[in-house]
Amino acid sequence: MPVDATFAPKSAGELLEGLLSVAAATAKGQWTAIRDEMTSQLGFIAQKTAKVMAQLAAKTITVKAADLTLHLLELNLNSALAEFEFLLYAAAQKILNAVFDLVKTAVKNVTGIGLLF
Amino acid sequence: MPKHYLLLLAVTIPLDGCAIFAPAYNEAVYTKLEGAHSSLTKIETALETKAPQRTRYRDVEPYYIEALAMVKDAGEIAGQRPAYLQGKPSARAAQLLADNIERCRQSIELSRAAFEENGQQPNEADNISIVRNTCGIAKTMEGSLK
Repeated sequence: MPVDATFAPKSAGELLEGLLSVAAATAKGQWTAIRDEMTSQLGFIAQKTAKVMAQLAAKTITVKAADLTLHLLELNLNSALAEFEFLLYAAAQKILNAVFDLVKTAVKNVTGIGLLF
Repeated sequence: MPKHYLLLLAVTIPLDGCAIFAPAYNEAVYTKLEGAHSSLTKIETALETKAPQRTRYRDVEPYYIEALAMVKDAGEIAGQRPAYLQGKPSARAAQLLADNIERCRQSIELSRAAFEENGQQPNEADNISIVRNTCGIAKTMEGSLK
């Protein structure tokens, strides 16, 4: 049974399988995107932190200047951590939407009724 | 498969499927954050164009003000969302985004105040790049709701 616009499950079991496959595919795609985003954010923080430490050690910047940069990096890290949690919520919503869409498709194909929710 | 089974399933699922886990995308929030991001890029570009000469604070002040104003607008809209999503998990998501817009605003203001007080420092470009990244995170978050 193809899980696409023609999805018309003949049993509750078939419907469940379709819903699970859509949920799993969406979750996998979301997780890949989240992992890439977090890798990039944490890489950015590591790079900038290493640079400010080197500058401070070589005394090319003052302690005061380093202090500001580190404070900005702290805000950046807190932002990245909040982003991580947020993206998990956004992913949950996308999985829910994908499952809803498939239920709508199944109802429409089996009963001919197009639901508006 | 009995048709009533499917229909029953459909009506048992809460009708308001949207915004259970995450708030709905808001174009105004995204556009304002995008605007702030591009004002910060102007500061970065001003520093690069002047280099190796120093950039004076008054040359970049208008961009700081632009960025702060747009982040303030975005923050005001995004700050209202947690209240009307109250009771849903999406209220937490909305709060995380509102908090990050505030972190973005704080970063811009810290950078601006330091630039005004001390003039351009050797690591000024790094500072602006960090501020841009922090504000970019809030933009990415709103964008992920599309």
